[in-house]
Amino acid sequence: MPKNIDAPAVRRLCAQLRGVNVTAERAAQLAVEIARVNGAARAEGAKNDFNDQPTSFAVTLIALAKR
Amino acid sequence: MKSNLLNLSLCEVAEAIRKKRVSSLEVTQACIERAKAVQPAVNCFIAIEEEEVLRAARAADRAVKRGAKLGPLHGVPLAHKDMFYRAGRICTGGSKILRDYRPAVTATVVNRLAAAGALWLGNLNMAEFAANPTGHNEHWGDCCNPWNTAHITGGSSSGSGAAVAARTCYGALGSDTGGSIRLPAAANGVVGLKPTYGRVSRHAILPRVWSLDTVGPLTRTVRDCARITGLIAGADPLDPTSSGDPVPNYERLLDRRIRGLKVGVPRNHFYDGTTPDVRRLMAQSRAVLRSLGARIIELDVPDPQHTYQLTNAIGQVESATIYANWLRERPQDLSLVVRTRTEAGMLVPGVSYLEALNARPRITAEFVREVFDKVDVLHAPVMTMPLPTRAETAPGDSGEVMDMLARITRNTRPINFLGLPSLAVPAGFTDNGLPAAFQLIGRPFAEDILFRIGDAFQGETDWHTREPVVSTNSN
Repeated sequence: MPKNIDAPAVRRLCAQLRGVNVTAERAAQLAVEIARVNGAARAEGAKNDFNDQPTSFAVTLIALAKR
Repeated sequence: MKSNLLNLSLCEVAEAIRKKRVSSLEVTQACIERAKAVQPAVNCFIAIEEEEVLRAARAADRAVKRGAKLGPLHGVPLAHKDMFYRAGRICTGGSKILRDYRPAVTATVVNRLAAAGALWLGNLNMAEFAANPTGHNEHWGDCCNPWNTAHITGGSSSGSGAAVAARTCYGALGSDTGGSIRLPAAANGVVGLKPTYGRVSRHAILPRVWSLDTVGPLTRTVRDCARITGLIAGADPLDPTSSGDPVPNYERLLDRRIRGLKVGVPRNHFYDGTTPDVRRLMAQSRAVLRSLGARIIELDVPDPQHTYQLTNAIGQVESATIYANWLRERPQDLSLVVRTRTEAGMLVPGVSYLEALNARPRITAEFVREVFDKVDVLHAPVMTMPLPTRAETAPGDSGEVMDMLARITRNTRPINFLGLPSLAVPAGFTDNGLPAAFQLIGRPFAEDILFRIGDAFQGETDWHTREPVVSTNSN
């Protein structure tokens, strides 16, 4: 899994996709942050099942309550 | 007399009003006077609604006089973090952008408190858009800790913690997405509940992260907290994420009998790097619980550290969505912390965001099985270090923001990812003279056990009765 994401690409995509301008320095910080977050999600995602869905969480909390 | 009035708990003053030992007007006037006196030093209010609340207090007194049926908070002045909508009334979210914002709807929790007879004293200071755990605010001025104004109040419910501690009101609502009730509760020496995700309606409150936001009270006693929670919790058809799980009568369950309850002390993560003075206070608090018959059990917990970046995946994407237009059109009007915490969310892939969400049930189920099949609650410090100063935690640039956040929210954020309830209870003072607290963490919808243990603790200690000496106009 890549530890680094291309900072100039981050800068371009912020502008092209979201219309937000960030400095080159900030893009470099964001590149590190996005790589870290994405890496963690991918690692955890590898353990997910294809039947998982976000709305399961509410049901899970109720199931875990003590009766 | 006024000082005695202001030192009553919420439950005590409600009883005093009900029994006509004191009028709501007298109580409210005392709160207003106190609020105005401490405001220059503490800056806990964004607005004090003096005329309206006095009018409401007089109406409350007329109701008492004519023998009307009275709600559990009848005539009691509360104040709330400035993010709870009231139709037609300004709600700033602690921001510049919403300085003149008037929502068209009223929050369900506001309606429920009003139905219980509570009065609205004013709107409390907060971190902009609930996005900062320190209490700094570059638009409305920092909220300052009433125990020592050089120190942070904790955030983002900064004004809620400070206002309750400074005796300007009898309770306040806050919100907790990564620690924003528990941190100001701990920092100001008051009680604060982060409820189970979905326990309390989020309808018509300013959103921060839909999947993590919770609403809860800050009060001086656990009993007060139990009363307010019982009134605001429960299913709300206007909030589809609110749970229909039955709401117990939390206050009636407070019997101070905790013999045999198992209090878990985590051997990993939550005490790592804890300073000696915090460690001492935690040990003393556990000794109190042990003296009451609770069993103290050390155990290893599933390492919650890996949830930190998953929480970022969820939080950054959702907040980038909420602030998308402002990031594009008015970035200069957002504080450094808000921009820093949000920008990455613009480019975190949707797949990664959903992977983080989908992992929550599995990770939470594992945590609950490993921990709460063995103990009833987990006991841990809210913060592992003494409260820092505002100068120490004011970030100079984006690079410093995330590090600062990680340090301060180390013990609180994982609990938001897991959706579990957590109650912050004052436990004494660290070596720098500022308050500290433990948190009791439970399985989903176990707020009743947290309240029972916290209330029993307060029956044996007096930390919650200590009052800060605030520099005021008159001294």
